[in-house]
Amino acid sequence: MKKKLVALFLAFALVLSLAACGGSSSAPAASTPAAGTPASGGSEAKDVSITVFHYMAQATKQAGLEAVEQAFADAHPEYNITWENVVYNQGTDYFPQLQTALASGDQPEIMMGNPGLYPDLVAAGYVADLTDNSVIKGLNLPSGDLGDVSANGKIYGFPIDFKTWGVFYNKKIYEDLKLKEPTTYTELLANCQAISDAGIDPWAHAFGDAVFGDIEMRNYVWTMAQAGGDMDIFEKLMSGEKKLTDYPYFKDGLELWGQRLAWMRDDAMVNDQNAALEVFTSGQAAMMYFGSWGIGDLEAMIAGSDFKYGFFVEPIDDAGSAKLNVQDDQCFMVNPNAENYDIALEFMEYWVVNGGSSWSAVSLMPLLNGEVASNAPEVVQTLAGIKKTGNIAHYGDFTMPFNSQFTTDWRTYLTAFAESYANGNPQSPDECLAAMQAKFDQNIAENG
Amino acid sequence: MNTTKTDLLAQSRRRRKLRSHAGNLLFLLPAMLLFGYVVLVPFVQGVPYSFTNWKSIISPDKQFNGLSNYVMMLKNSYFQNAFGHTLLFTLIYEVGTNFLGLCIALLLFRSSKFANLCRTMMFVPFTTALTSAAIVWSYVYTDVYSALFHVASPLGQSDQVVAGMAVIAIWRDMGYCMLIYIAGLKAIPDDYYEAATLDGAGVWQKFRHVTLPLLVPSFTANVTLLLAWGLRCFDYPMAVARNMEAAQTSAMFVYDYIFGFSKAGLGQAAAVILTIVLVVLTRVTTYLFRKSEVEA
Repeated sequence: MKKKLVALFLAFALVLSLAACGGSSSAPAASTPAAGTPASGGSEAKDVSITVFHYMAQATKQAGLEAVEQAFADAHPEYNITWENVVYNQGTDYFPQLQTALASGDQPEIMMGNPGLYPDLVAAGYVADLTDNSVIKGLNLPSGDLGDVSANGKIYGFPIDFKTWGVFYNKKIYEDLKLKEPTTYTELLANCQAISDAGIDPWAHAFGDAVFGDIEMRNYVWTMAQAGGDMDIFEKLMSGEKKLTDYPYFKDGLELWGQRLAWMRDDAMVNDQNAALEVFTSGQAAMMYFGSWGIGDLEAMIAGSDFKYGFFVEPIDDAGSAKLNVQDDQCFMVNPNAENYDIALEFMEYWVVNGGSSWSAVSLMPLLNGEVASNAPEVVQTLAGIKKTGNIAHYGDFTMPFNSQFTTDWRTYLTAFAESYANGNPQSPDECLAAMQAKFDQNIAENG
Repeated sequence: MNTTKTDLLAQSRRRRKLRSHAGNLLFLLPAMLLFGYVVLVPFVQGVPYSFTNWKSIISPDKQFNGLSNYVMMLKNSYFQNAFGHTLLFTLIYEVGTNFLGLCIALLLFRSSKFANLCRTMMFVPFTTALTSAAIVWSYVYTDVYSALFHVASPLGQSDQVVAGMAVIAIWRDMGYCMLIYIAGLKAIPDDYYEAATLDGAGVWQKFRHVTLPLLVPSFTANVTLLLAWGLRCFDYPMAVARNMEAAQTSAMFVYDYIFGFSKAGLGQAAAVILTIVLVVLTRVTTYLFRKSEVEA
């Protein structure tokens, strides 16, 4: 009996300890160690804590954020700031995690993201209206840059830098085969054939990451839609006012893309970004359709090697209509309900005005005004230069971006289209669009 | 006088039995409380939301909309497809894990240093996290399987992805099944085999008429548990086939609707449907297996 009582007591003690473990507020997905700053302000410094939710998985960007935080802290000795940078998974799973954290009572000061993609956050009051913010106004940013941080005609975020995508190519392979950067789609296909004839795979693909089908198709659709003046294309597709087949861009885009998908490796469907980069940097493939967000990772991968790469905007026809696609990359919303909202706002204002150089020098990202740190790779300097010319197709110029479910479906069906080529049984563009439209119709019916 | 003594003895026996049952129940209580607090209560609390048009979990706005979420979900072909993928996964997983677990148990249930070492090795995969197992296997598929057989990884092909994920799950969990079967095999008295040998039974006949009937309790435990694990499958597709429609399971569908797509009411209805199916299937399976159980 005594033994039994002791055992029972231990069992209850175990449960109590478990309950105590579960009593804390929701745990973030991952948290970098608090980047505490020295109490440079002496005893007068006010203790504050600022939490930043973001999805910058790349080490260079995380280091860049810490560099800006340090620079702000140095410039503001009146605060003794404890930073908590909470890293979430990137992609379509960021919002579920962010939303769950907010629903469980977390009130971060700063949240990364383009407000247009998160209308629920705006509607629920988690995002401050920055339309009248004098600092943002003073940046004199073009409409596209502001469009990407806006929702319902109001500005809700601070844009920091931009991302773009296109063809990264192995310079040595191009030189060995005497190939030139193509300026027409015919030339691009000819290059693919020449590379393939030389026994090298033309492309490293990363369709294991959903975003890659998306960025390869954006190049066609965004550029063509903007040239056709259809700036409300995504808004109308999501409302059901228009169907995918009402626009020529999707079918034309799929037809063009399908021609390139003729050259796919066996690992194309399962490679993620890093696996595809390994294929590309090891010389197994001559080109990779890739984005500027991963240049830091690419540089880290080739450090110490003699690998040289170049970049070109993929031609979309033989008439030279291609434009560099641009989207604000790092954007940050400020939470008006957070304890240190005012200081967070001050920090973001500092970042867009004075902190850009600290950010760019470490993250190697090109800033929205076309400036870039001098230590950034040649390709980043090139991208920044093109952005400065204004000859771009900017996502922010569309009236509305695809929101979460439409983005997921768009990516899923594009990946399925690519898969059909990998399996040797290619879908027609019409089949792909019919499947995608059926899913869009389902979403619209459920949205009521 | 005698009757009174017998009554008193019976009463005392009943009290002792009651105390013993109460003690056993008290041991169960902590786990039951925890289960109730962490699983049962939140689920029951969530049921009313399935009758509303609740969108985002950060929004307080919701109106009662009757059974329309259930009707919509039952008619939703994508939900039906996700459920089909889940059933297929569960079927392959159940059959493969139980079959291999039983085979390995039959090979290793007699104690020896070699058998003990092998058992430990077979059980190790079960201690790895599901997502880790999935990621490791994604490399096995691309770097080993594809290289050896010159074919693409099944995780990148819609018609093979469910089977590809089931293989990962079988690899991870067959060690667990093996342990349950070993416990079941060890509980079978040797006398039965000796008697069967005297009756002239061969190896197959002993397995068919002695081992299998007496292993039914182990089958009940393994099949029921794996059924529940299979029908809740979430981690594998999340880790290795996030953007393939052919890999979407019911649990992923629920997750996306509630948290990703801001259709919390619809997602909650899908969750309730899934739970009902899971409970019914589990109960039917348990009932059928229990009916076949025999005492050793």
